[in-house]
Amino acid sequence: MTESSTTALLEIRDLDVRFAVRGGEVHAVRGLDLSVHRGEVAAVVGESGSGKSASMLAALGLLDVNAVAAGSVRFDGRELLTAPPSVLRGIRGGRIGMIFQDPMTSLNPVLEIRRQIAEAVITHQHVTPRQAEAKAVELLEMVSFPDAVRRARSYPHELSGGMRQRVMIATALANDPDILIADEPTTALDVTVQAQILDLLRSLRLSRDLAIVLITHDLGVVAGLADTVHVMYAGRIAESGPVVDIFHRPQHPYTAGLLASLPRLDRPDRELTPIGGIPPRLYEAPVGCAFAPRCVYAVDACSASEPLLQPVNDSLVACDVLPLREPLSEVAR
Amino acid sequence: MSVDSIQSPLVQVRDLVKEFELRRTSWRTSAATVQAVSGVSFDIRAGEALALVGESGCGKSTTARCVLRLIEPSSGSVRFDGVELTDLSASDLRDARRRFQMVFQDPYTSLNPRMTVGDIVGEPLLVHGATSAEQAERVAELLDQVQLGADAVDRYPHQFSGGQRQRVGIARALALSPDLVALDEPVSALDVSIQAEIIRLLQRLRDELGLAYLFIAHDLSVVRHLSHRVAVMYLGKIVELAPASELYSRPAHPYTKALLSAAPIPDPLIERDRARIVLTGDPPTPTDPPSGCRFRTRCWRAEEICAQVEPPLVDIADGHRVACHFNLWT
Repeated sequence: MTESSTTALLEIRDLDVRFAVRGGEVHAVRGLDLSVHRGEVAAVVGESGSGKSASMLAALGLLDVNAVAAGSVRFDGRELLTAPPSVLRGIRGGRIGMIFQDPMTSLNPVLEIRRQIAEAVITHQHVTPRQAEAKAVELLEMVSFPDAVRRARSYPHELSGGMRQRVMIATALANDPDILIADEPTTALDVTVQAQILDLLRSLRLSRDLAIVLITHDLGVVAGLADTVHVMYAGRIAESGPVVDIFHRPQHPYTAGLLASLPRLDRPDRELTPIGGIPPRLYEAPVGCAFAPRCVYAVDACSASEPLLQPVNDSLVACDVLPLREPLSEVAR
Repeated sequence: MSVDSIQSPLVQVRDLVKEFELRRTSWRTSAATVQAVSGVSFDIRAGEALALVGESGCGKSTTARCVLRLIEPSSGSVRFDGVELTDLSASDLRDARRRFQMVFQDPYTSLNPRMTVGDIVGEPLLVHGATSAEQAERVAELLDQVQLGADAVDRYPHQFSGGQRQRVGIARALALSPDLVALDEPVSALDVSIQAEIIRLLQRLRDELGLAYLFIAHDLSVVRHLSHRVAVMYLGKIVELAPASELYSRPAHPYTKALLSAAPIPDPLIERDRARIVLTGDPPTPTDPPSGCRFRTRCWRAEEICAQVEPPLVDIADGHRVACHFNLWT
């Protein structure tokens, strides 16, 4: 992972995000490092409040006014954090496509869907409205929108959740992006419809060599789509690595704990092992390892200093107790 | 528990129908109705956990609410321990409700933010005439049962995490020592690491207190950990009902097969090579359900007969019932 970092398409270094809230500050992202390469599907997983969405919003310059981001986000060599709004507008919806969890609130309710997709085309390309609408129908066909020519005139409320998410994906792909940022793209969908959207994303990344940043809490979705996984806890990476290593040889106690707490369809008799305790609230930076209060392997030293990411096999792991431990792959079984 | 209640089911639901009237679109037309539940029948035995699963809009929550008479069923029968609930008077219903309680999905909105946890958990006792000393004693016992510290009594819901709040909701449901608890998506609003705690708590309470559960869920892997039997619903009807192990290992209805195959398994090596049945399209709207078999518009096995004749829910093996014209049981 380290040697190829120079060629990364999206390279986040030491990203910090703070939100001003009543009575103080929430330090949501605390020194995040993350690289995504061309054509790679990188999953960012974590529970609510882990900073996974905040870090991507920061990278795209979409944070609310009460938030401050520091550090570096480079897209294809260009710094985004300090880029002027006009440059960001050119990149967002252009070379970086975005889809969000709730396709109902992300679409304009009073505009035909072909118009909304066409708007994305016109913003970034020199085309006539007529050409843009033709392109919109083409994009709808590409995302397997049934009867695209006729139904391109639909309004969002006339469509099901799955169809709306296809419209979102078509819009995100309007300008042939290099990377798609997908924040919980299937969380609001039913499981049979989720399967359709995941199938679509799998085929798109192959046919278009599309890189995807998949932000999700659902490890089942990650297993079916991702190449690499970045597990976040309390605003930092706990563990990063190839998908098979993360699931079969987890090195961080939090990763192993997550896997052990998951009910699995294929293992009905497995005892679920909860992690115990509750995730920290980031009103103040934790002293030492943020996971230590919930960690069964924690030793005194864990609450002294925050562990740095260190290479272990093909992964990067932020845990100092690593050499003392029994193999975690057994824990996660 | 009496001998009778072991022999006859605790809950007996027959031909349950719930219709909702839709807003009229014009003064000229009469109001259209939508049938959210279209003739559902099932039993729950004492101490048994029955899950109703299906996608949004399939009628699973409406069914549960009708069974507890939180909403009035349009027709059909619900018998609880031999007593017909659908024609009980309001005061008789209130007495009967001691024995069936509900836990809601969202522990953030289902607890009164201005009441202490002690008052929330103790309120059902008060309603049913306990003295304050009895109440305090029972509340302490309940908090212990759901593994909340005794100091929780004087605290307010906002001082607790989502998982702890769900424990409060469970304690409240258990206050009157019910025989049946309806659980409407009890873990889906919680983070993964917290879900497992609540699932284990519900397993333990079921076994220790001999509770029956009517468990509403969309997540098939959670259902598998908590249920003895599973009923799969599609557009207001049960399409398959079987003991859990049977349903998961030998699903017979094409919709059940598709649901199981669509549920992701958190293992990249398994997911990569998995043969999936990906259904096309979305569930049709219940205002205008397809003729014959309601699943036929998305079914890969559908033939002419499916549009003409509605398949009845029939026994194909001991306790395994399926509504399909074809024998897909392998």
